[in-house]
Amino acid sequence: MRPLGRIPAGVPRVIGGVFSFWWFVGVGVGLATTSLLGLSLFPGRARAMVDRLEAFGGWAVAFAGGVASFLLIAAASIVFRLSVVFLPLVGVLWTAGLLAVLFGLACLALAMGRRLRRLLGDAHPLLAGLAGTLIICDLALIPVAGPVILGLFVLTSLGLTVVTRFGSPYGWGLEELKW
Amino acid sequence: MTESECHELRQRLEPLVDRELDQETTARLEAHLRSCSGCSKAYEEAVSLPFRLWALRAPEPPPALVPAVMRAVGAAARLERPAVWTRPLIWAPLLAEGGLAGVIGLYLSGVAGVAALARATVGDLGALWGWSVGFSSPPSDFSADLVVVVGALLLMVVTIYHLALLARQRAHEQGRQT
Repeated sequence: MRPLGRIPAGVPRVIGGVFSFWWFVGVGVGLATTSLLGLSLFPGRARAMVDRLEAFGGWAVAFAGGVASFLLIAAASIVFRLSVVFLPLVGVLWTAGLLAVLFGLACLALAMGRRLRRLLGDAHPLLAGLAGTLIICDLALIPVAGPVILGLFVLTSLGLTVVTRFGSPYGWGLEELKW
Repeated sequence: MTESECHELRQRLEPLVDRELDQETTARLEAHLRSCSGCSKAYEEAVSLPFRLWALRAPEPPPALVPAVMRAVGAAARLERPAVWTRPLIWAPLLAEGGLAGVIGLYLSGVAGVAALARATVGDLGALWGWSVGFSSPPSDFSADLVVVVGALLLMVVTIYHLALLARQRAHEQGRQT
């Protein structure tokens, strides 16, 4: 039984197990839907994040921030795991990380779509985001290198969301506490 | 009316319109204007408002000007900025973070130990969920180890400091852009 279908008897199982054709289609459609939903719900924040990404050194800062954020989540999970009281925070932390990765991926897709738009001509920003999402899905399907590329994208998207504080116009800092 | 007088008037038409000539020259050229219909017509055009507004227009830049300026500005900006890979604020803390993570990972018996810890944490989260709805016992105590705890706390401090540096780098870049 496959997630979205069944391979008939006699058909050679070129791709078996979990990674069936319909699994890939399901992941692609799910990622595209999530990206478009994120871009539609938070267009201003997405634009701020993409602008930050396209600034000088934006990709490097996002990637370094992603590695730091991943290690921070891992270390915080260990520390929270120590106590039954703080154990639920591990779930909150992982959920927040997952949401940050999803929204960051949408913004990476939008940035790639904007670059495509400069090359191929004008298009709606959501179409640009969709094109970027498809590019990420296609890159992730490359044998052997695909998971590595996807991992780099995930780290960069996590860092982009954290460093830009979810696309806030202001960076991290205590200045906002002053009034 | 001579050809040389017409030539002189055409040469001095703009200063004449702007009243920048001396009285003698002005009087002579005005006398010529009264006797020459062609120069008089040119003078009327020169003093007309549309002509003077047209003269004030900025000249159209050649099409290659803007790309050339952008290329020159971009090259100057690239020379001014240090390469991304040589920025210590971005990459140096990663060395400390990688070292700490490596120590913790080795102490936990490598990838297998880290994966076992992650699986145990997931299992504990599930147990906590079941416990909170009354279907299971509370999660077991974590066998804490001082090395792991201190390493994790140090790693948290370093990563938070690193993220603060990256955020300040962002503010610095924005300041430079403005």
